[in-house]
Amino acid sequence: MKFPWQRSGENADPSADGRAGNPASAGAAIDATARRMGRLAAATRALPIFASIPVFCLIVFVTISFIGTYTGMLQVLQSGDNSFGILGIAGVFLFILATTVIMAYSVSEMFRSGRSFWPRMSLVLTYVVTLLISVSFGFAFYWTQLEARTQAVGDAERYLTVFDREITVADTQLAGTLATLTTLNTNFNALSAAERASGNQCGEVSGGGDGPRTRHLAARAGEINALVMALTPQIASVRTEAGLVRASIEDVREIGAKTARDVTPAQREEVFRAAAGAANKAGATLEALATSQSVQNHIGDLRTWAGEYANPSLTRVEAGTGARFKCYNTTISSQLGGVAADLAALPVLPISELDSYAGAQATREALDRFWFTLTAPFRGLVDGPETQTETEREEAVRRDAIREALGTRTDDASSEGLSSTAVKQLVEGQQGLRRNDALPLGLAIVIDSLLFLSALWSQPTERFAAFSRMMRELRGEKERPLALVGGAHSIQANPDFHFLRPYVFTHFDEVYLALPVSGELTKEPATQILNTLRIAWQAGKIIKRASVSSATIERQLGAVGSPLIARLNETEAAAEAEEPYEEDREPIAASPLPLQFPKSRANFVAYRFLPGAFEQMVLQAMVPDMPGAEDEPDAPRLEPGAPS
Amino acid sequence: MMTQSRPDAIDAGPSVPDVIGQIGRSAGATQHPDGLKVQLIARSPDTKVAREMLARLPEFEAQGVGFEAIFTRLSGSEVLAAVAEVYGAETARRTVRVVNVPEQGEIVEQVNFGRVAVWTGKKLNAWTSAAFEEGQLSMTGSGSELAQMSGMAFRTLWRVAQAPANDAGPAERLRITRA
Repeated sequence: MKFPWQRSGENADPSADGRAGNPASAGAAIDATARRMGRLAAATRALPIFASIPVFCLIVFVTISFIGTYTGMLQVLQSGDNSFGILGIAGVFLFILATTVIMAYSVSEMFRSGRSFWPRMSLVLTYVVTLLISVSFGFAFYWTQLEARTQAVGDAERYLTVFDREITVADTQLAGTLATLTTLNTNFNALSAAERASGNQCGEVSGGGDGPRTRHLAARAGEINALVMALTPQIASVRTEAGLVRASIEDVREIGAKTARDVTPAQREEVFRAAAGAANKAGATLEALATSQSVQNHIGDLRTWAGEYANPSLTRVEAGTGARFKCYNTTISSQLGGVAADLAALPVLPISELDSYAGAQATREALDRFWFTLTAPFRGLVDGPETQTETEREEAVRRDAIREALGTRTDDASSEGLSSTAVKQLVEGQQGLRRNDALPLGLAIVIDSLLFLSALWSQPTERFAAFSRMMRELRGEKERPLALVGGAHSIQANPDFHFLRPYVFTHFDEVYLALPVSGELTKEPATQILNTLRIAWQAGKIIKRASVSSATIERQLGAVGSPLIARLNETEAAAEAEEPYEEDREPIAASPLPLQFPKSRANFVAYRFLPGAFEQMVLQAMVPDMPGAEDEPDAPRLEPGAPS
Repeated sequence: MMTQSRPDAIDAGPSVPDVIGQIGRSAGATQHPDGLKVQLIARSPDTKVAREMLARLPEFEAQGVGFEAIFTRLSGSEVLAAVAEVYGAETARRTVRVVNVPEQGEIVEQVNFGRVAVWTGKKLNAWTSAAFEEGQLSMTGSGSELAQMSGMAFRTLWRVAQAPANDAGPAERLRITRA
């Protein structure tokens, strides 16, 4: 539906030719005006297209933001063990839909003029809350879609590559330690037998037999044997687990060689996770062995014994008999020292925590990281600053993995200066955002930022006009009178437009039409007819609904001296006088509900004259016989007494 | 200022023939062609005020007064036939338009009697329509602001309305609500 001046070569005003007379007599001014109208008509034709672009963008970004937020929240909620039925899904859908719409609405209302401070702040707060919901769940969703799979597989590959190298070295070392322990045990048994036979194994000739030296070496051989019997199965267990890990790594390599068509992502993840789990368990077992108190005691004993056998002046006293003897043997000392060194240098295998590969768990982990980072400043205020170092955090992760892998053998981990609570806190320190979270988080922020901008653009007053008006209000700028606003001069000067003056106001250099929407004014014929005019103007793209509050409209109408305000006040005063409710006479209410709810203060709504259209509308009325009007084919004109 | 009349004053106020007579007498004074027309906005030719105005078309013609009408739907071709019977078939099709714009249901029934008077009735989306006696007749007087506004409102709505199609099908956007 378009106005005649929005069509080329058309003019549907049937009244035009009634005053047409001679178009040439309109003069050069009208011709110039007509030429200018051609350009304005082109701009007006294009206006609906440009006006719809921000709305289109808003719809697009609201939809995208909604999809990300809804899917993310749904995945997080579905990651729990409880069933999540269709009602739950519908609830999440409605919740996120409402959240997204409220976010867009709060943006569009945030900069609306005429709002006082606290209502505006409540809108800002609403936007911030809804934005946090949208960004957090959107980030978790984008993480799952963009990064989780790559990250999990990449981590597993890197981890297993390192582990394969380390496990080979560790296995060799463990085999050497085991061999040394066995040799030591064998040597001590042989030493005891040789002492009994020859009596020359303790640095001095004793004559052999079952003397105190022989009994000492036999007892020491028994202790060594006990030590070997204790450590050998543990080391063997670690080696067995290492063997399993190496087999898993072979599986990983085998599946890695397959193409994407031959193996599903789920199968790939299962193999990776099995390998990583086996590796973690082997590493944890070995570390638990290396750091166990029994091994530490063994190491201490071995070092002590090595020192004793290396000391030629050490005189021993046999318990029970009180016999005094010396036993100096550098070979034994060296072997004991070597075994102690091997045990002290048990290898450390890398332990890693792999992220979830995909799905709800990955979304939940990402959400945890986001909120962990976001709440870090507040936790810092409550719990004090965290002073843990990177090494401490790594150590905490390692201990946590040991605790998970070994279950009951957690005492060793917690007994070395870190309580289980401290370990938990330090492990939680790993849950913050990481470098590879930047892309999904940035994507969520960009989408919501674009939603913000498009919501700002799509306001009835277009683009940043609302923001501009708010800033002007804050700066206390003065309004310009109607006559000085472009195109509006005729409202004051032309008597044909005097009827509009009570309804027209300016607001920061833009001309608006105020339409009464409540009260007695709406019952007046003038208001009803103005509403008809408004609907026709709106259909003809002359005016557009504007986001100006009723209070602002009333203030502006009052500033230009509109009689509507006086009539509005009169009718309101009369309505209040007729109200039966009198506050000072009101007895105690029998009902908790008030007798009368507060009335809405929306007495007017505003419509803004679109750029250029206002001038054309005025010109159309001023110069009804514009060139081209006589060519209108369907413009009827019924002269009085037309032939029937 | 705009001249207004109360609904209860219509009974004692001028009738349609009186107003038409005033239009005829102002023929020499008026400068605008719309000042010599009766302009009708109604939901359909079947509404009360539309039927009354269409019934008076010969009377309008006799006084030298033209006629234009905007409807949201045409119920058959009776209105075109009625106008054609008085003003001729060629003119009839240019005399009636059908409007189909958003919020058209919020428009009130309206009859502009030249620049002499304006009659307003019920909204177009009301269940029932208003008879002439039930509406508000405002004697505007030539050149009054209400006359200018009503003339511009009709003419602007006319511009966004369409000539009736050959089949004169109904408009779709009007939603009838309780009055």
